[in-house]
Amino acid sequence: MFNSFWFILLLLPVSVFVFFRLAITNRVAALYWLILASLVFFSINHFQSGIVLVGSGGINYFLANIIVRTNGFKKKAWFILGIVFNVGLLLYIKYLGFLMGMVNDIFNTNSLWGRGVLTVGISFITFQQISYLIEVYWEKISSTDMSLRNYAIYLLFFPKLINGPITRFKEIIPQFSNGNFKINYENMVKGLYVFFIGLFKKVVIADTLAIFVNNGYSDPAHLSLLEGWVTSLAYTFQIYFDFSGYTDMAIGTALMFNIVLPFNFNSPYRSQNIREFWKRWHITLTRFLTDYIYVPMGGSHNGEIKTIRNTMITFLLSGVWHGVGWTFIVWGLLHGIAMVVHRLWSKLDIKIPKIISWFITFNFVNIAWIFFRAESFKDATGILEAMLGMHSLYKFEIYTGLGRYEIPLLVLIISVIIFIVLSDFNSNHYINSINTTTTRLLCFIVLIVISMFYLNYSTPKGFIYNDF
Amino acid sequence: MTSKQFFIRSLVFSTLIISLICIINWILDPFGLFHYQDRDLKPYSPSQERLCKYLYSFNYLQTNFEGLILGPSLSDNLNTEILLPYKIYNASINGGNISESKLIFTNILNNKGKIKYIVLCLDPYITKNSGTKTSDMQPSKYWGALGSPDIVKCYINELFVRKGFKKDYFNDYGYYNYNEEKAGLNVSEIIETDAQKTLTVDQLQIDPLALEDLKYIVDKAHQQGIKILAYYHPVPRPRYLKSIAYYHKYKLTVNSLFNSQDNIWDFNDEQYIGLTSDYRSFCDGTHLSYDGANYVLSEIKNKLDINIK
Repeated sequence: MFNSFWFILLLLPVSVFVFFRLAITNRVAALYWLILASLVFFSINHFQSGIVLVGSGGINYFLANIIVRTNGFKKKAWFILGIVFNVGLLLYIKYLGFLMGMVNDIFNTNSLWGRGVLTVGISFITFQQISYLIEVYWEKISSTDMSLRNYAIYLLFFPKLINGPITRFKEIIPQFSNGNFKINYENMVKGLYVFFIGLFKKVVIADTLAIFVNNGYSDPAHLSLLEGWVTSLAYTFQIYFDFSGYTDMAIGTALMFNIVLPFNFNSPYRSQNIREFWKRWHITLTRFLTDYIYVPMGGSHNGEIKTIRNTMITFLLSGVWHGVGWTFIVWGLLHGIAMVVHRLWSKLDIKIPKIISWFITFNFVNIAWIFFRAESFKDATGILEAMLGMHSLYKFEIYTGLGRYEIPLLVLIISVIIFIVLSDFNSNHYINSINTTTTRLLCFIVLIVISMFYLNYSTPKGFIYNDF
Repeated sequence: MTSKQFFIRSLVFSTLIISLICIINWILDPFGLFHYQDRDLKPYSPSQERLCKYLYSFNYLQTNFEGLILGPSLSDNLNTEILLPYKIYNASINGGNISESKLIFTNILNNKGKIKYIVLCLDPYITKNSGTKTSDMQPSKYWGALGSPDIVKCYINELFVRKGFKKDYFNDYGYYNYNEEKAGLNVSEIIETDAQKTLTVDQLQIDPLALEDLKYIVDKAHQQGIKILAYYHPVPRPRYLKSIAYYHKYKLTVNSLFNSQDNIWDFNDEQYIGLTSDYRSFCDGTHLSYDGANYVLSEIKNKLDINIK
């Protein structure tokens, strides 16, 4: 994981150093080194997952090579086979246990088939591979670029391997083919800065908010009005800082190799409507779903009914992709409905004040996240009932695990939250420009020291999206 | 400055600062982990009791003490300093269960620990649930002692206590003096109200994993030649009589884990009726008052005199 000492103090510096050292004399060797480092990064704690990754990657590469060499019906058939293989693998690894659970419930059986086969990052890896097959089928990738080495780099490049961003082949490979394999200190500075911003977001902010979230969701039926709102808002910001923190670390790591990954977040909680939210939240996933599912189904070009259908299917798939359980499906459907409502509302051309539209959008997203986090509908309704004051009003006990010394930290977190909601300033800003003044140096040193000491606080907690 | 200078300086200076902080913490060593042997260490805040007692078990306890008391809050307010010359550390944890006691015990044994005897406080509370209740008792906390928010809190707590801004609850024998917090309670009323209540399902259950952990402690102590003394915590007489069948059943289950070499006694037996019937023995419906604690300690001392000397 990025938020571990072995990665920060060992894997990252060693892989960067050896990469640039090899690149002086042999670019190809440097690329193979990167592939090896990526395999080590992925497999070191998840050996079984590493086997699945290599195996499925090999099969996809084989299929892609057949697709590029065939035409007409055969080309389409192999392409469909490839999609079916990837989706089938995802279903087997991720959803079989859930589906068997449903079968057990219906038929009162006790099959354990499908349990315990989860592969870390399988959803992201699957989407990467599907993207590759689609781009090959659409002839956007030429056969000359389709070497095994290029495919391995595209699939395995470790900064984005587990939790994205979901990249396109043509975003990554030209950077490796044509890129500068010399140390670029400006990129090193930007990369390191963004990496530690991400680490700070994760270990200081997200993991602190997690205390409120875990306490609240452990007993939703007894939360007060205050606790209900604090729990839901804490998760809304926990998932943002957790996932955007991860993305920052991924982008920062890649930048150290002179590779630019696409942004995944752009101040999503400033959105004025749900459409804008999905342009700012998990941007590469939105892009994937739009380009590969929504648009090929017809998008918004075949009338209103079909547009609504396409929208709902896309968001249903988004919910299913995120997690195993009915609550994720409900979350996806809620967002689909919101998108449809927004589309219809936009046609009325009624202007409402920006503050009102922001308020509605933010609270909708906040409420939808409840279903995303809750482990059951009962838990979700418990939180919602609490937020409506149906349990009690002012009890506040969900801070256990935090002491009075965390008060300055909580003040800081709340300040950061208010800042990110009020301003458009985010970590993307540092990728575009960074100054190297003494003041900035001092701030950076403080950021590193605090982040490293918080990393030493307890056993590293996984990223939320590791589960998807 | 150039990007290269910025990059190098940021890495160098942050490494230097982190190293300096680690060295300072290694020297100060507030948890007795790295080198200090003959020192008096204690938690300076109830919120850090678990962390401190857990970290003490890596080095400090086995170096300075020959015996332990293991239990929850029921035994946490036993001042073992008065048991000298028996050097016993009270490793009880407020709100702790047997799994957490097991962590401390096994940590001592795994870190060159030579404990001669343990005193177990037995009560249904310790086996009601299993597993650690917080994230404070993890091996990663060991390296956190070189630099983490935990150690900052530790220093702040110590400063506040020394300056008189915070109450000093603990002594260096692990004794947690929480009795004053309960001053003014109407103990008789509490005991008599409790005696009317039937034990709930939650209170009646024994977590099988917790029982396994207790068995582990007992078996390990036998293997290592560590003497076991165990007592059933005194329950106010009216409450005990209301649920006597349950307490007997609990005792049968737990007693089966011990053997004839172990010394077990029950403060709820008739011979101790003077303790359990006198409400002055308790500071609330459950925990011992100063008088009650001193009585229990004197009995422990008697048992030690018989079994250890």
